[in-house]
Amino acid sequence: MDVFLEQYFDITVMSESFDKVLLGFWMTIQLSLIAGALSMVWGLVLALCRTSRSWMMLPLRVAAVTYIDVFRGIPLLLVVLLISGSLPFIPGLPEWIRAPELFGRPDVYWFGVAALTLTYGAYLAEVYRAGLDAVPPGQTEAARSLGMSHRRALRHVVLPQAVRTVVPPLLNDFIALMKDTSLVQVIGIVDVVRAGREVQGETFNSSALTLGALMFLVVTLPLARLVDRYLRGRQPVRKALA
Amino acid sequence: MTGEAQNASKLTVTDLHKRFGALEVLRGVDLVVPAGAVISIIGPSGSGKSTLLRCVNRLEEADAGEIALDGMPITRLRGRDLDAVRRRIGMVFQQFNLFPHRTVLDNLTMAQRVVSGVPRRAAEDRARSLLDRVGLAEKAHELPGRLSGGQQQRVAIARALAMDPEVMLFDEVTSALDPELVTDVLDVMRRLAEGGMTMVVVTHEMSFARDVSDEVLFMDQGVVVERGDPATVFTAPAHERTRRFLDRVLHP
Ligand SMILES: Nc1ncnc2c1ncn2[C@@H]1O[C@H](COP(=O)(O)OP(=O)(O)O)[C@@H](O)[C@H]1O
Ligand SMILES: [Mg+2]
Repeated sequence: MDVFLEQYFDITVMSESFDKVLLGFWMTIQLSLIAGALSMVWGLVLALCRTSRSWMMLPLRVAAVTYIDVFRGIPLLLVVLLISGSLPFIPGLPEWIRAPELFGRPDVYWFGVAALTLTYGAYLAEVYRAGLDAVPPGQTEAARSLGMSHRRALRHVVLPQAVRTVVPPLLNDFIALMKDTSLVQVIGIVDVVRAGREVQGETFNSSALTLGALMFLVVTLPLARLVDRYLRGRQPVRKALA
Repeated sequence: MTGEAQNASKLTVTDLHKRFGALEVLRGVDLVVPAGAVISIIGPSGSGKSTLLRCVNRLEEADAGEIALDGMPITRLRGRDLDAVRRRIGMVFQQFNLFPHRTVLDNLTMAQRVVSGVPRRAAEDRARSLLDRVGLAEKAHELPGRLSGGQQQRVAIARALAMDPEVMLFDEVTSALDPELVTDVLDVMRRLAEGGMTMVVVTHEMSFARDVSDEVLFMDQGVVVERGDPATVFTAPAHERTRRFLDRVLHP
């Protein structure tokens, strides 16, 4: 029992590695927030392309469906490697894509953000689509009958309702994205998992990884509770509408 | 109605055809709505009444035939022109279709502001006076979900009126309501008719059709079987199908 405790919960290892692990966790948070925000926008763009009705948008619709299928069908790790291991070696590409070093961050940082955004954009597109489909057609009809254009009906009537219904699944996917940021360590980003592993390699003790897990939980548990509360809170509203 | 008003047709539908796949829902419907007139459309479920109204508002595309507003054909309008025409035609739906995420007041101001560019204050003033007219001034800041069905439907009528339409279309607006809530909605419509609004009313409320309309149309299987002044249609219908329908709904 003591051996077990020492392997995972060694206070000395934890306190000595605390700063390093926290720094790694800060990287995890940054990647999550930036990629999370970008994929929320990208996912919405994809969903709007996918749900468009007019025949003029057909090519865009086909492209969106293909994109979503492909990126939901391949592992994130593969996307990470395909981007970081290829872009720098394609001569024709502009410098800011081959070696992006925006805002003083290294290129691998942006490759990681790009991979997460590309993949999670596809997931979130499906979430938004479900939300858009859940808005009754009568809402658009009422808006159109008041003289609103398709675009205005979407913006003022359909989208606000769609987004409201998908807040819980969006938060769930954000939790998943946050955990998946640990995959980008393979291209050399020192996130919380990488930091913990380095300590593990030096000390043959896993407590730094446990510490990382605890840091994750500090953020993900309240988020999960928030989703619960949101879902519970909406029940009475739905009953009132029924 | 003066003779002059009778000559000016506000809305004209000519030989309208519409099919959904193999199903022919409208098979040559004609309709003339003089300015200021109230036309009631009655008929069994599935006879194409809703489809007719939806075609007039271009929520549904007719396959053939012509629709004209003030003599101007609107059947082939697109884009902005279509939006502009829809603004002139108000529609009230069976299921209210209020915007549940916005307050009652916002429901009335939204289209005024984003479509017509009315400033907020002016839009709200207009909204409040309309809510007052339908007896719901004190509900301005409620969400629609907190209102009874009858109140929601009155808000929906006020919302359509906020755009200052020239014609109002009503599609069985009391059918989803509990019986005791029907009267308030019908009262609002009656006052609107008295105020000179041009109205096309699809309804199962036979007393309303009889008392308020200038003309009653009986539709069955995609055609207008019979039309005439309410007294004649209700007391001495010319067609067997009309007689059977009225028998069924008046003496259930
Ligand atoms: N969007 C649609 N697609 C296919 N069939 C439809 C559609 N809308 C209406 N119909 C059919 O058209 C017929 C007439 O419908 P409707 O105009 O709603 O009749 P009413 O309002 O008189 O009850 C019905 O048989 C209905 O099932
Ligand atoms: Mg109907």
